[in-house]
Formats: sequence, structure tokens, C-alpha cells
Amino acid sequence: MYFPNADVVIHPALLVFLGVIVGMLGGFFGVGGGFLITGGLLVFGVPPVYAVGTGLTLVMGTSIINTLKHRNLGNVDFKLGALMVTGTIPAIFLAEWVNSSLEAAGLAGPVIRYIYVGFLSSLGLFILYDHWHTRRSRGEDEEETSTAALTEKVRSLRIPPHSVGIPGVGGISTYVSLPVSGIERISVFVPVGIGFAIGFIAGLLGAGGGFILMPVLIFVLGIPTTIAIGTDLFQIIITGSVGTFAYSLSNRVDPTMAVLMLAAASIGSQLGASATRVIEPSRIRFLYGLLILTGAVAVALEEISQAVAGAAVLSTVASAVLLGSGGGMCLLLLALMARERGRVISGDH
Amino acid sequence: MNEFLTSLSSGQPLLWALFVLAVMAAAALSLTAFWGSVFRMAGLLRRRRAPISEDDVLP
Repeated sequence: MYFPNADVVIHPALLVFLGVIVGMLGGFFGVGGGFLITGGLLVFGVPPVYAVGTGLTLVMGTSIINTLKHRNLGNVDFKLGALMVTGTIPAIFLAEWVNSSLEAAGLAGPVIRYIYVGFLSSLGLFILYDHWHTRRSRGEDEEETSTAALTEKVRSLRIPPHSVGIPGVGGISTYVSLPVSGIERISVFVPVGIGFAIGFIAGLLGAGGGFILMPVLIFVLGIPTTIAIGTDLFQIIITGSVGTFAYSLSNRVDPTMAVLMLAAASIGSQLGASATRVIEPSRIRFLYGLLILTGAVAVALEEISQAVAGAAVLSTVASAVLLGSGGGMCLLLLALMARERGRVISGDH
Repeated sequence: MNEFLTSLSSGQPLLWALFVLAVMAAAALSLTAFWGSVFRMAGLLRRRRAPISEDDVLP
């Protein structure tokens, strides 16, 4: 099939395969999957500039589908998401400015990739550590994490001003209640600050930011895993739309390719989002940690391929690692879902 | 179609960006509505096929 904007010919089955994987992982983990899409499209022969832009466009579309699916499951805290977005949008533009400055100094490529590898590795290892650490004490409470003390501190932060005066309306408190997330009272500056930090890091690394936000919501704000997934997806709609708009302006998007993959992703989304209902939250976090570590290995291989002469083949290996782990994870999710269904039918639950 | 896509993308960048956003949003909403109706239909069919148990019968 010929894609006019990217000027490439790709077998549609390959794009359908990639779309299903991205949709399923997005629905299950609450991530956009930009790193997976870009890697896959590069392997399929899409020019790099179009791979990134088309990837972001697909992220935007899949996030809309996944958010609506999670909304039906009651997993989206729109109030929290809206507060974070107010911090995320200015941070993305600030990060782009910092990126341009680093690029002008000739530091952008290697510095950003080293930070990326370090960040992904630490995040993945921490999530796995948390899983093992709380495994014995967890018992019936699937949402228990090793950062309960930090969560308590963050939630009880009192940040001035405690109220804002608006002419004609009077004083409005800067503390809100987020019942969907199970937070009684929190300063609005906490979610706005988190949104800003995530937006800045994501913009700096050239990613959607979903892979950082999901663990931050769980381990820092102490939000239930499924609510963190749904709210994260809502946030990605906004960041994905900003990215899509920017890349489309410079004509680096192939919408035909994106729509074809979106149709396939919508099938995967139904499966991924439904899987969050039957797979325990602690297991979701564990699998997420594994996926993040695989991402770190892939980015490290990509960095080596660029830094070492004659190691260009490692770039293809990196993309294959990403696609292979994504596909493997989808099969694992299907197996876990089938097992849970079998248990329900046999009356174990 | 191909000619329309390439000419719009190279000639009208702002219009093109808005077009891409609109197409993706419309596609995502349509696919959600499609799958929603498929699942509703499947649920209805399943309920229709399920045999009536004794618990369902009012005394």
C-alpha cells in the first residue's frame, strides 16, 4: 500500500500488527506508546521525520479511544487531569526552548539519550523493587506501595497562597478535593507542579510523557493504579494533540498511515482496557516495570549504534527488541485474561 | 485522493495541521462508537441466548 505523504510503500498487515500492539499496551498501561510506534515504523522503512510525527498522531488518536474506554470503566479523574494539563502545556514549550539551546551547543543528541537511558532504567528498577518490597506485606491491599510516607507528605503539603481573590467573586481556596482519586484535600499547586515537571521532562526527551506520569500518580500521589492509567491517558490526549499540530505544520505526518493503524489500535484498546479489570494492580505495575526496562535496553542499543562506528545494525536490533517485547507482552496479557476468565467460570473467584 | 493530501500538506500548512487533528479525532470517536455498539449488540445477543434460570422466575 502506498502512503503519499511519507512517500513509502508498506504492507498494511505490518501496520495493523503494530497498531494492535500499541492499542493494547496503551489501554492496559495508560501510555501513548510513542517510543514503540516510532521504532516500529523505522523498521518498516518509514523516513525518520515521518516516523516521529506519524507516531505522535497515532498516540493522540489511541489516547482518545483509550480515555473514552476507561471513562466507561470509571477510571478517569478529569479534574486532576485538567489541573495537570495547565502545568504541562507551558512546560512543553519551555523544554523545546531548552532543547534548542542544547542543540545549538551541540549537546542535544548524546545528553538527552544518556538522561533517557538513566531515567528509564531507574524507573523500571524502582517499580520492580517496589513490587518485591511490598509483596509479602501487601496481603489483600493490592494498592500498597513502598512510598506511602512520601504520598502522605505530598498530599499534606500546604503551599501559599491558600486562597486567591477574584473581583466580584471573592476569595477562592487553592485546595481541592479529588474524590475519584480518593484524595480528600490537596493544594492545586501539587498537580499543576507535577504536570509541569512531567511536561518538561517529556518535552526534553521528545516523548509523550505518559510513561513517567503513570508511576508518578501511583507512587507520589498515591492514586489507585486503574485511575492513574485512565487519568494519564486523558493527559496524553492534550500533549499528543500539541505534538500532532506542531509536526503537521512542518508536514511531517502521514494521516493515511495513522488512520489505518488507529483502526487496528482500536481493537487492541478494547482488550487492553478490559484487561485492567481482571489483572491485579500489583501485577500491572510489575509488567509495566519490565516494559520500561526493555525500553531502556532499546534506547541504550540505539545510542551505541550511533556512537560506535560500524554498529549501525544495533539500531535495527533496538527496534526489534521493542517490537518483540511489545508483542510478547500482549500475548502475556491475553494469557492472563484467559486464565482469569477460566477461574471465574470454574468459580474460584 | 493522494494528490489532494500531498497538495494540501505542502501548500496550506495551517489548514493541513487542523485537517490532520480533525481527521484523527473524528476517526477515534467513530471507532469508539463502533466498538461500543458492537459490544452492546454482543451483550444483547448473549442475554437472549442465555437460558432462563429458576432465580430469574418471580414467585
